[in-house]
Amino acid sequence: MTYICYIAFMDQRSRMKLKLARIEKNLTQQELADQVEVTRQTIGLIEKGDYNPTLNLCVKIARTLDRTLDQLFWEDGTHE
Amino acid sequence: MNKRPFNFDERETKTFRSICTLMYLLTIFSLIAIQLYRQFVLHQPQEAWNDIAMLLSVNILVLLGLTLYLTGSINLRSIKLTHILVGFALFVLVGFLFTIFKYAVLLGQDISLAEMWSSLSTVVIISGILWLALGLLAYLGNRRIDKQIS
Repeated sequence: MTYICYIAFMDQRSRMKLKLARIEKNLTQQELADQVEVTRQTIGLIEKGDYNPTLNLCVKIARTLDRTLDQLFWEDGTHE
Repeated sequence: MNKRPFNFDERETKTFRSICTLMYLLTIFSLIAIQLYRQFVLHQPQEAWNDIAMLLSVNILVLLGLTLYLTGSINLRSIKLTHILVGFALFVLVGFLFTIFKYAVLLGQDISLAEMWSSLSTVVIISGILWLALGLLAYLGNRRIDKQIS
């Protein structure tokens, strides 16, 4: 049970990373979407964890937000 | 904002492709049902359903051929010749049994030994051509992918 709660917590945290990075960069979902050439809905779904973007889109988002792929999309504690 | 009204992004393209795949499958299965219904329930003449049968055959063969060529996922060199021959024999057997079932049971015709032999040779020839063509496409597709990697 504790493990399941931990996984859910980590999953939520990793989802939040993109949202936090976007807010730190002072971008709205629409502005980020325009810069990476997708729709606002797609960004919303990625942040919510309901859509897995392609590697190409991940790279575009990471570049736009000045982050690495690890910082945005890698789940904490699963490096090893 | 998206400037163009039909500028699909990757998520929308993926969703659209999933819908297309589903609708394609539904269409193919509907056509199969329609063809079988016309042929065996309504007992319509061949001219009434031949176009659907042709369309289905071409469609499925092109689908198989393109899948084998474009994915290059079958490496013929790793499959044993005996396995290919057993597969071919099973394919011929199923085709032959279906042909016999079609004429003897569904259409209620008496089949002589000569007709059975003729039917078997037709199945062997058509299956042979199909296997050769699909095998060639699989080989070319696999070689194409290998070339791309190197």
